[in-house]
Amino acid sequence: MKLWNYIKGSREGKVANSIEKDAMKDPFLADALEGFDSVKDNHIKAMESLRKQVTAKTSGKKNGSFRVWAVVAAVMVAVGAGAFFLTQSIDTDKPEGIAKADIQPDKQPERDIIALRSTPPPVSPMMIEEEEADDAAEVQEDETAESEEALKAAEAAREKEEMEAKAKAEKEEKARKEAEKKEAAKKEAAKKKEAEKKASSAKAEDKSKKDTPAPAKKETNNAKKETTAAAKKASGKKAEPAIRGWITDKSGKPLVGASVFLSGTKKATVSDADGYFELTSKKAQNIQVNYLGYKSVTQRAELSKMTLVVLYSTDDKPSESEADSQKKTANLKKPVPVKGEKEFNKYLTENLIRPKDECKDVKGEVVVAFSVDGNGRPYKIRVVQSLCPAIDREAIRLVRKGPNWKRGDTEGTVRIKF
Amino acid sequence: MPDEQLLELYKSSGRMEYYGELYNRYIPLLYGVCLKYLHDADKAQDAVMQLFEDLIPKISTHEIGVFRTWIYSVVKNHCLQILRKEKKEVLVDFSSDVMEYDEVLHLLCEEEYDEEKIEVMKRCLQRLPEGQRVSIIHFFMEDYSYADIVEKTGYSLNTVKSNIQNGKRNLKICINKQTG
Repeated sequence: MKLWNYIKGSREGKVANSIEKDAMKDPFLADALEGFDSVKDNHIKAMESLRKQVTAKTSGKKNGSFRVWAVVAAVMVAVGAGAFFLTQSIDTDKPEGIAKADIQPDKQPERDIIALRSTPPPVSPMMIEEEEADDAAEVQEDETAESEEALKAAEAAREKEEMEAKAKAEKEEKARKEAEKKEAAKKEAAKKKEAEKKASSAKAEDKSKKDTPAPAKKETNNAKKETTAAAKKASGKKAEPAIRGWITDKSGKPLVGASVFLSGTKKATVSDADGYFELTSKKAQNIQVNYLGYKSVTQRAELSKMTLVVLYSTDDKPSESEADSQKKTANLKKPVPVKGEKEFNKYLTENLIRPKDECKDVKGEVVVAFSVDGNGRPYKIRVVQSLCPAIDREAIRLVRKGPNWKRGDTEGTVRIKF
Repeated sequence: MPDEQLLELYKSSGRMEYYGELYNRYIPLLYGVCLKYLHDADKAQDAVMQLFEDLIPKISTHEIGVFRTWIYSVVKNHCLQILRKEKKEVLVDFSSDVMEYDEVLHLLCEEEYDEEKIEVMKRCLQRLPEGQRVSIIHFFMEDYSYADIVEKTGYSLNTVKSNIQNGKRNLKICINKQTG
């Protein structure tokens, strides 16, 4: 029935996807789908008419060749039975005769004997049927009734399936129309809600990513997505818990078509034209974002708020602490810790407090960038390579409370291992 | 009820309804295949009904293992014969016949817990051209249908299909290279 609907034109969603996947493994199905797509016509009507023709040609009929055999066999049975009764009338009700019979076990003994003696060697199933016709009419009737029942059941099942599918389609159609009606109203509500949500999540984000340029499109994106979600809800589908967010480059430009994986799984999605992505997940998880020409990033993503992922180009000049050693020859001097690199690292190891929340098992590096003021204090501290919210906050705290810096020509960066 | 059981019922009882029921199950597939070969709705319908008649004597005498595979080869031959009778040049694309269920397809379709394999696949995915990568992820990892992907990406249906086909092949090459 799934296939029937697919041919009819239900080509969206997981059901369609599963048929398409099946076709990759099944050449029969693949050929058929290719056929349906290659010729434009009302295929459903054609198939319905074919089915009707087949049903009309088969209902209440017996195979023709079968009938000929039936007559022959019936005569033979009659003759055989006569001979049998003549010669062995005394033994008729004794079952010993079966010992010699190599016939199906579900048959009754006396008829087996008759069959053995009377019928020429046609195929055995026919034989069985024939004897029954001749000898035990009521048994045959029983069987006919049974088979008719089975057939009816099969047909009923098919019809039921068809009806259900039809009903379902109608229901969906209805739901969709309703959803459309409601959509206008929902849009407003969704926008408002989203704005509120945005405000609160923006606050949280600000803490860790003070200067990270937030994409200007975000607000509109958000409203749009929320509306789609609302529409989905209205059409009866529950909005699934999911990780949602945006992927941008360092300038805040949305990155289209970046792969987003749930870490350690095969689940993935791709960011859309607005850099937006949505990944079904029941809990907060690490996501891994890959994009050709950009460095891969793994970071924590919550269910409750939007996750902003900033990707840095692999061509970006090395701007982090790894560059420190190389920088000596470079024209621009980066800020360095007043008491030296070694002392600063010691400070880090002594003062680092691992978070105890859901970030506690997350390992990796956070890169923090900052400017240095006239007093050697870092300001405008922000995370450029994020790991997990609590860890990011800790990295910022370490820099803010840390030792003084000697000013340089550029921003300072520090790479903190967690 | 499995096909084979229905077939057995027909053979043992000779009741045409069983055959009709069985044949009706395959109408969508048979009709589709005939459309593919004959490129014409009327011809395809005639072919399906002709095959229905032709099979009546064959079905009770032939040794049929799996009915589905048997009838698939029967319907293909039936259509090719029709084409030959029309003395048309037979231009049939058999490429879809070569469809082995390979490891990569398995990796993409089934739940996979081997993290190493997943990592290799992710690395290889990254190397695919944009269109192939996006199409593969949508189709296999998000269970989007072809039509969904068309709507989502703006690619044409044929582009999506060939993206997935080529992406699958390139992934296979890459994964085999990586795992040696």
